[in-house]
Amino acid sequence: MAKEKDPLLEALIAAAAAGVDAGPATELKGKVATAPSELADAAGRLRAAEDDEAPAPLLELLAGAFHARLQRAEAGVKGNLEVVAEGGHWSTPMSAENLYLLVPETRPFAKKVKPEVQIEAIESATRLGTATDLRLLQIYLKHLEEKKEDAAVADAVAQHAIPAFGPPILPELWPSLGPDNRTFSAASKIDIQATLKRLTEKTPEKKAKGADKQSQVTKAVEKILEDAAEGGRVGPESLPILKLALKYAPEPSFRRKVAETLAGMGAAAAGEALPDLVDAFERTGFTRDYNLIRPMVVLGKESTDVADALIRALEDRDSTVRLMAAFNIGQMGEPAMKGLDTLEDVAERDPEPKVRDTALKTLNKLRARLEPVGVVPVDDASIAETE
Amino acid sequence: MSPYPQGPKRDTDTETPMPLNVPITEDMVRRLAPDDATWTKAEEIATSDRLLQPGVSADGTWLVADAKGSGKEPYHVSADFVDPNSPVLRSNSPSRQTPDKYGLALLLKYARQPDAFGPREPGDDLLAKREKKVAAEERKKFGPGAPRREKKSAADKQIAAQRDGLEVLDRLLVDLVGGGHWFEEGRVEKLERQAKSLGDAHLPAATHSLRKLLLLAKQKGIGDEDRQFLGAELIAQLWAIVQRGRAYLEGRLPPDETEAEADALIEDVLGRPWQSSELKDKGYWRAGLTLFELAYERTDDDSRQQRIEISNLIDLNSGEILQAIAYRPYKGLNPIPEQPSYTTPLTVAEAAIYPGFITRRVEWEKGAETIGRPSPAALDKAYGLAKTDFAAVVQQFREQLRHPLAPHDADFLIRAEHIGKIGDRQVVLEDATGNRIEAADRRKDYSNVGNLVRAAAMLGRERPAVLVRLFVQPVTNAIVALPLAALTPKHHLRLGL
Repeated sequence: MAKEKDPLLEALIAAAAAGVDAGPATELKGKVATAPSELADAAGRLRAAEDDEAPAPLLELLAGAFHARLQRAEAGVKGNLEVVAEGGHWSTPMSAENLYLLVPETRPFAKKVKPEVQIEAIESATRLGTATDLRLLQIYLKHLEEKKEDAAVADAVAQHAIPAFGPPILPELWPSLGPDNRTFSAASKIDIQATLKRLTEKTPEKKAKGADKQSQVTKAVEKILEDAAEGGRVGPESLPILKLALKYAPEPSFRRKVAETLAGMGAAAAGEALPDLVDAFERTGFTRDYNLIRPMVVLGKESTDVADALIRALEDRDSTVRLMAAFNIGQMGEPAMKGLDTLEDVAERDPEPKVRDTALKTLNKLRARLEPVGVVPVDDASIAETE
Repeated sequence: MSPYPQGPKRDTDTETPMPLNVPITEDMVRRLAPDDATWTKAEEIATSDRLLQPGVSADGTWLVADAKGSGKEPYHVSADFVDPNSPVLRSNSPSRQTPDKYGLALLLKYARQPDAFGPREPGDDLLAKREKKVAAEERKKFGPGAPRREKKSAADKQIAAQRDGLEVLDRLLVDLVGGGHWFEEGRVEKLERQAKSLGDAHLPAATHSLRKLLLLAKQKGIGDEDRQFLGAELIAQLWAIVQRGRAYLEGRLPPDETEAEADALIEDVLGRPWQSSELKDKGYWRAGLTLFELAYERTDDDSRQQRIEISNLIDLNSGEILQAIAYRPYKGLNPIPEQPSYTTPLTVAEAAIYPGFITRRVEWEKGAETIGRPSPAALDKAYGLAKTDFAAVVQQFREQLRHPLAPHDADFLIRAEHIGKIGDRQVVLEDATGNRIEAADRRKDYSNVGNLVRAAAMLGRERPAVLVRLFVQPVTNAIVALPLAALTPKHHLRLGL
């Protein structure tokens, strides 16, 4: 709301702020001639006052003008009222005693509540179902904005307090959602799918900031992996973002971390993430990424897609890729048999002796499954070196 | 050096027998004038009818008069001749010269027209000042061996300190509007010193307002125009406090004030805490209260240097909103017990209801309350007591604002037909007839309004009752509402810290 116009009060304030000693208050004396009737007496005395006495009636007029202004204060506001949309369920069950353990001190030089006490308060309130007190929500949200990595209370808020509110709290989290912050940790604990959807949506603000999907996804996965490293776990709910990470992550070392995380998830990841892993392996650039071979095989020992990908990789430009492919085909199940011809070819014609030796060993291993006799002897030392 | 530094001796310089113990000549008076301009003005005053009721004390050591100047009330002017060689001229005029033109005019008038002076005794405040001065001089002269004076009671000492404090404040305010530039570094430092010296003056309201001015000077994120505006408002408020303080100290009731209003203010203005027995004698007492806490707040007030904890209660019999408050000084927080918060209804056999305006303080002896069980009926009852007509509520608040020193806020439980937004910024409560009050926050670090919007999403369709604190936003001069709690017959949400 705009400031109310009050020429008399403004003139009085200006005169008092400049100091009436600064010069004759002629202009002010002219303006106070228009003072309302309740201030007329003081205004008259100010007009008649000698300069050294002007402060007395000026103070009186100032107090009177402020008081008169207060009498004119109005309530009410015009415009179309848009009623708040229905939704959400809130409660305020926490006792004042516990509540103020979590409210930041505003007193100067006040002794702060120790972080361990606050964490205990958050954890016990979560257990008792009182952590979801509406009054604390704003405080929790501020904790999520904490930039310091080492902030145990903020971590407890992200891990316990905010997730306790459940999905209805998600809209409150979206404004501060970032791929590598505590809001992401908290939101992904509640609903990873919704969080990822929100994160990868290109909102106009994100576009303006130049944030791209690739970096969003990379940061988000790094956050998930970081949380997992600190005692958490990566569950199937994280599969979508890990799949996206395979697609967008440009760094081999990062892709490897993602692929290994998927391999560590076992059967849960096999069905859903394997095609993406294969796709990532085949489309990573000029040559394939040999770091993805082992996770592919762990998840897809019986997958023909994996076998096909490895067989194709036997012709990669990178000898390390060919070497790893040749070895890992041997670790696969039945689908590996499709690669016999190509392995034969590689064992004879690959320019790298190590690749040729490994291909030959794998070839023998696979043939041994079919017909245990007639195995061609190879140098064990070179195989061991390959492994 | 000329024996007549201010000019040659005049014909009027004759020693006339007078009731005053000391002979005064015009030349002697002229030598006291700080400059020619003041002397000229003093001469004008002495020859005019502006010196009212001039008088001499019976012991011949005082000249006293009132002087008509630009102030609302005549100034008090006096000359103290306890030391005949060094008269002390006092005046409460806004002039910052010592002695000022009125003091000189008083002496000059006596020198010229001693017969115009009738018998008149100095007031208690003047006698106290003389006594203080004499004692100080004796201490200076004799050191620890100075003769001991009659001990004053604590109450007398307090009154003397308050008188001195009000005088200091008066000078300070005159100095502020005289010199301007309130927020310049040197000025702020001086104000800080003065605020500290007021700490012993037992004038809490004035001390808090002065501290607010200092805090305003240091506040960040505020424009110069707003700072100046808010500073001027505080100076105006201080002026009003000084005027009321003087009246209360003299035992006068200001003409536009009821006794109940004075009772409500005197504690804060003159720092006189109420005793239970006094409150009971004056009828500020009630029996059989059934209370239900709607909201609980804890705020830190840097101007008061206090943590203030408030349990906002509704009296389920009358619908009145009451506050149980603990004022806990920053220095010495722990010895003052916390204000308890109540999650269930309570009954109180008898309690003091402090004098006040709309929202009054309630206090009872420890253990006088009986905490009840959680009761949906209490919530239902409280909901039923909410006021439905916003216009009447606002009018009642405006009545409170008529008193210059009344608080600029008051609590009401109001029933909102609609809670919504106008544009992106304004959150508005609306009653059944379309009267509206805008919701607004007072803190910058926390939003009760944000919580109201969340609560409205949950309870909006059930026409919630909202406990609000109406207050006037200083710059916009709008009456707005700080939401403290929202309730329906089934739900109760607390909205603030």
